[in-house]
Amino acid sequence: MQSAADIGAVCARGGATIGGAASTEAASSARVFAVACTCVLVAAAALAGWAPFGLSVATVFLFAGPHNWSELRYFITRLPVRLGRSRIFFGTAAAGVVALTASYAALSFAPGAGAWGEDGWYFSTAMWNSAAVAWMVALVMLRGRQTPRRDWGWALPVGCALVGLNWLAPQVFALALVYLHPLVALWFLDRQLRRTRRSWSRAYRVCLALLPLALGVLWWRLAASASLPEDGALALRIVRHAGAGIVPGISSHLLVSTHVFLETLHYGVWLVGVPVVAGAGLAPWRFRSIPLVRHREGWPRLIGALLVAGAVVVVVLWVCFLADYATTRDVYFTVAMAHVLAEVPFLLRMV
Amino acid sequence: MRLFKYCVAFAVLLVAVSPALADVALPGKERVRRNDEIRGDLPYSQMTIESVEGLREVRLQIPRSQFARMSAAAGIVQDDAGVAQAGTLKNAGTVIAGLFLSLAVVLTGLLLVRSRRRVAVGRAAVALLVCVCAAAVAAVAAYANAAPPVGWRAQDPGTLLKAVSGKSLTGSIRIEVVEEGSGIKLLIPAKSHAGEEEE
Repeated sequence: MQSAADIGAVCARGGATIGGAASTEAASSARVFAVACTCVLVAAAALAGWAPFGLSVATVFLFAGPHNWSELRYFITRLPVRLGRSRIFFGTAAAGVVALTASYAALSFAPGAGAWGEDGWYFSTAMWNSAAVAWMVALVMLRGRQTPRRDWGWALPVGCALVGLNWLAPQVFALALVYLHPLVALWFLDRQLRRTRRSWSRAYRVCLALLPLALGVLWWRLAASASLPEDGALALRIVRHAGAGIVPGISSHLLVSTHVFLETLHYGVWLVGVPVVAGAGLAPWRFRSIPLVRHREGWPRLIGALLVAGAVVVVVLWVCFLADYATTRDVYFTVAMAHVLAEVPFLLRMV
Repeated sequence: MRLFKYCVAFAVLLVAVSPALADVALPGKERVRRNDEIRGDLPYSQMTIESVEGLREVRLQIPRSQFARMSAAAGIVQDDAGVAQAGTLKNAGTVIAGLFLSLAVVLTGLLLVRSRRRVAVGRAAVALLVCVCAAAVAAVAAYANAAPPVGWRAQDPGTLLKAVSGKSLTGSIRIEVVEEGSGIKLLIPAKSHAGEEEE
């Protein structure tokens, strides 16, 4: 995989002919990338609308674990060897990810949580959401200190507004996170393109413009469809995960299809999109391309052990899915809150 | 300066109005619950149906811990603290929402004032529009006293579905509050003891 730097070097070295050839090649590869993105988008939307349960079960089984590993690999690659001025930023990020994930899991699995009733869940969900927003605002402010050329002062009023809206409808707020999380992956891909494949960026943004169109078609086709049957524990979980019961008056078929569509794109971005765009440096077998492994002040053994342990967890997850899919799905989506939160600091570092 | 005055006046207006709207009484119509609706507002518990050898009557066992929580959720007076808590959490949530939204508007105003020389009129208008939309959403929600969405945890009926035979089954049961356990149990005699009733 040739990086943008390589393409730039070729342009600088060669004459008009070589430069023209490189430019033609870049334009051609951008077209191929755009066509591939469009095909994935259309196929995912069609499958999600046609067989939402099947696609949900299959994608979560196949890609939930590997995409987490891929994200871990990406984040480790983006960690600086020397934290320097970013020490407080990464410290706050790590503390928030651990504390918020632990409290989220505690809320989900707390003994007797089922008897909390409406008030108990209202309060606990609103508190957790508020803590998450406060943590994100703190990260934005810390990031703002590191990049004084950009004005990040808006974070505080926006954070206050989000906390306020959250207290009006905490579970709607939580559901919004469920639907927004897959879109964050698209943002990551955009930032990565700006770094390593700038020539593809325009084509990618054109494809992104097709996303609302695909969602519009999906909603138009499914708006009047009957709700999905909630027979069995698994169907019930999938339907509830998509927000049926929280958003009244909307077909659960539409909700599940939308959620599965976005999740499929999310998995696609992390498993294929980002590694392809980032180039050979993100190939799973190339540990030496990780700065923390390559650098003499890095931690090659720790990073290696972490990635191997992650791969083992992926295999264990597959085995658990085979043994008891419904329970494993519950546990996975609770623990996976860690990767949802971990995306925040790394995205902030990239914008 | 004029923009600043407008922002301040708008912020003061919102701060004054938010708590007032938050106190508006519930509309006088009750929501009709459908049978196929998932009642996430109700507490849930594990339930076991057991066939017990030698049992003479059907018995529903509810652990004391569950019973106390169910009573609180149903608004049954148990102790003053429980009742007070059930009523105040929602109101507190609305007040907190109002406070944070007001704070957001005030902070936005301060931000615009602080950087008024750099901020274009278009940006200021957009910020103002966002504030107005947020305040409108908050006011609508507070006025409608919109109930928080129902709990979305999937309740798995498990093998209890097998207990349904298609026709309704009727009989008297004895309700017992027990100290141990965390789930509700319905104990059914393994054999019929018709004619041996003592009551």
